[in-house]
Amino acid sequence: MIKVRVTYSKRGRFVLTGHLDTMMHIDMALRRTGLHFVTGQGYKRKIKFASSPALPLGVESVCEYIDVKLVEDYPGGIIFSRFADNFPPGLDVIKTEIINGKAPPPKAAVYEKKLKFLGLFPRVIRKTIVFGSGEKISFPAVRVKFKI
Amino acid sequence: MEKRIKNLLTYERPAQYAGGEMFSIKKPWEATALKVLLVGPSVYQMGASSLGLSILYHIINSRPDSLCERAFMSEPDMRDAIFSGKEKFLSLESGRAPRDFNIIGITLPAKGCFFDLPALFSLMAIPVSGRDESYPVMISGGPGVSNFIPVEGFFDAFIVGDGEEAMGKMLDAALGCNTRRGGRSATGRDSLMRALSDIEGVFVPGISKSVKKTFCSLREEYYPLKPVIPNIRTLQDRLDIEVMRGCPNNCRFCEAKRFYAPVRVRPPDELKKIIFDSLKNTGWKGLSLSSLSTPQYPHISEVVESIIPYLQKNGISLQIPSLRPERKSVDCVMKILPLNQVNLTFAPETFSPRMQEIIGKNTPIDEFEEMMREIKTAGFRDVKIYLMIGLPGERDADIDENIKAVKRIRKAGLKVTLTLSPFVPAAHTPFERVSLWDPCEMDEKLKRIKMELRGVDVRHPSSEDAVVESALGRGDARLGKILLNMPALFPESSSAKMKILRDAGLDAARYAGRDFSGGELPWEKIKIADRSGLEKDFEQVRALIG
Repeated sequence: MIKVRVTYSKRGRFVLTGHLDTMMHIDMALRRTGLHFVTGQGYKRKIKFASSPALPLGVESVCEYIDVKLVEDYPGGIIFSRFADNFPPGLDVIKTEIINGKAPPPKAAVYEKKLKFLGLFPRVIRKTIVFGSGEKISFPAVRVKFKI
Repeated sequence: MEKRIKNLLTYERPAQYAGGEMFSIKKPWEATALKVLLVGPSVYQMGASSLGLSILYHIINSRPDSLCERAFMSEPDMRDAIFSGKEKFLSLESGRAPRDFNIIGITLPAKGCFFDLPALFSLMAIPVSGRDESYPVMISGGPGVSNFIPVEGFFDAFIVGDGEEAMGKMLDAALGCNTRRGGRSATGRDSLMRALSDIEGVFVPGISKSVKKTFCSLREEYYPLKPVIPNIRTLQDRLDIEVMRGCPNNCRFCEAKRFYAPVRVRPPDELKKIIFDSLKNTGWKGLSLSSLSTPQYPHISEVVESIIPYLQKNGISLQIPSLRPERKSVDCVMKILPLNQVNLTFAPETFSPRMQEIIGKNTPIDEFEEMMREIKTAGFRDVKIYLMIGLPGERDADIDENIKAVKRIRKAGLKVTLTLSPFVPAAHTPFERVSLWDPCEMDEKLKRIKMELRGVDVRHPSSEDAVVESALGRGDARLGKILLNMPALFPESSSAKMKILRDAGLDAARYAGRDFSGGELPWEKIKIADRSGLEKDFEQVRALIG
């Protein structure tokens, strides 16, 4: 069994799709890849995957990820190409990497927001939000990385 | 783009207006000769997974000379924004206004949509009538047009029957009449309308005298193997595969049997290929084998047995709707039990032998009770039963038979959910001339059954719902005039619809219960079933009805 972390972006029109609908699309994309995933043992054989924390509606991201477990290893770039080919438009796979051991969970996310001030050039504001702090981020913003 | 996203974020489920779905097709606008917009009269969450729309979308986009885009009824918050001028009703693929298209097709899955048409036209910024050639050709199809008389004034043409081949012929005609503009000049429009009226199954108001239902064979190439995956979770959240069209039974109350006739069966190998290819392409977790009576599909055992190992391995659930209350259905259900829990819903309609003979649907209570015991032994705990009330010739004794039967089924140890549907006589059936029950009597009957079956979960639509359904189903030009002139509203409840009719001077209950026993029927120019055959069929049971 190997653990794979798939990093993808969520951009364009897909930012209008909520977290649960996005998870539905990812689950369907995983099924389309044809790779042999570790699944639950119930009726539904749910593919086990862990995802990054929910992204607020309307916020873009270039650092979303899901962790999946594959029953067997695949040679070369097969894993990346299968994911890249089957993710829906708007969710673009950036990289896939094999994780050894336990991946630490993210504690905070860094967002960038472009603000325009009168008479000045647009300025990019960076903000780090710790999960559970209750702070909200809204459109237009981009999640650029997680703090581990 | 950023501005559009910012605007859409203020509405509920904004992804439904965004388009760009997986497997949606966006063709180059200028390079394509004919532009068709398919409009669903229900909201995205309900209509996006519609099989009929998906088949037509696939057929039109398979042609190099045509493009097809989709649009759905907006949700209330978006409707308000469109009416106030803040937003526009746009197609999902290229975000264009309906007026930019050459042809607009509105599918009418049921007659209940008729009341929404004035508002839908208003959202699309297209007048309901008196359109000149600068507007797209408005066409309609689907089971709702089996009696299109009440909405005849809204459309330029109707497709009665299967749309697969008729739509192709319509596109050919549109291309032939006025190549680039698809009939956008007065002469082009006239010749297009005449050409459309020559197509089998197409009715053009003002030109055609009558129309005969069209049907086609279920060809593999008509079926989309990569149906559009909606942006948001829809009510039909699974892959829907049509196994056959038509129904082998002859229930006298059923309009769908006549509308979808004759029975056409998809060959098992082709069906298996469609199932496997579609599941691999889309990644759906659920599969539904649909038809008017799936357990009666002749190759059901072979198909189910051969797909079960794949479904089991991949955790895909299988649903077989439209279970007929007979042994075959139980066998079918038992086969799919290892896959998933099945919702058991049976529609015997009535348990009275006399009524069963009248409606032409025979479900002996002893056999049904035995089936329920088997189902209980197999581990099921609940069952849904659909019965009809107010059938022609129904007496108190028949209602008693139904009550007794439900009590017997409960003794089998199953939790029964009973749905009582007031019988609505439908056009193109042997009961098309039967008069509607009295609403007060119906309420009494429903009250009595609920009293007798205390402890059973009894559900039923109101008699008002059935009155409105009957008024629309057997409507004529008089109703059409009211619909054409009604304001752009979305009446949701039946009482609101009845109020609209009342304000226009039409008593819905009296209109629905008007006498059809003699004379010409309003829908006689729509030839769906052989009328003399229907009359003969009715004669067979006339003595029983009394």
